[in-house]
Amino acid sequence: MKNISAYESTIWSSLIVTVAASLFFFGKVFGALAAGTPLELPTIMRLGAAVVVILVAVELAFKVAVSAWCKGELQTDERDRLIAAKSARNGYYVLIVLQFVLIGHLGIHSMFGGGPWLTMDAPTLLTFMIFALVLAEIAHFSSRIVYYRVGA
Amino acid sequence: MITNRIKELRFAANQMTQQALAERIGVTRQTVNAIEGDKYSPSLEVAFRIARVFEVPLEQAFQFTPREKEERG
Repeated sequence: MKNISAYESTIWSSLIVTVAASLFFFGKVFGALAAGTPLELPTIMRLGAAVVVILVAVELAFKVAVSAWCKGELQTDERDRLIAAKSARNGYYVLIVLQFVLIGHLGIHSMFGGGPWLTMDAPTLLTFMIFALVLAEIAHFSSRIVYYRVGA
Repeated sequence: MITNRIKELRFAANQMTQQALAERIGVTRQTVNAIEGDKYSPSLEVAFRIARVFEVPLEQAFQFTPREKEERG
């Protein structure tokens, strides 16, 4: 990683931390779903809140460490801003597509009734909505890294 | 496609480093590296600043070659 800026390294850390946190969270939640255990909203909220707190703490600690290590060299320029804008757009596309999949799923369920695979209670729906958000964030961070490496 | 001769111009200007050029035009060294490697086309403002640093016309620092499709266009 010869030409990696301090700022780009914080994006790598965001991607790695987000992927690790989502693997942990969704591993637990989807594992419970696959085992046929009904999801409970308070349990999901508690687990989600704990993951978010750890994620924010790790990210903050990494940014402070990078800032100290690189003597405050976290400045950005027009290329960083262009990459951020393009990547936010890509993340938004992923979010919209996944939200439409969920809406479509609910629409089909309400129009045609549902077999077991179409039935979704509130905690499961919430889980899939969070999953869509996290996938969009991962797409956003991945896009940024691709634009930095391949070109914007 | 936009190409440039920044690397040549840097070497002609007392082997100016990417960092030195970056500081003079107000971007990061990684951005200068990306411009030189044709991975990023800078804004007009940065392009003019680069030309001004080397005291050359813009066309001497940057060249525009339309793609075949665009030319037929």
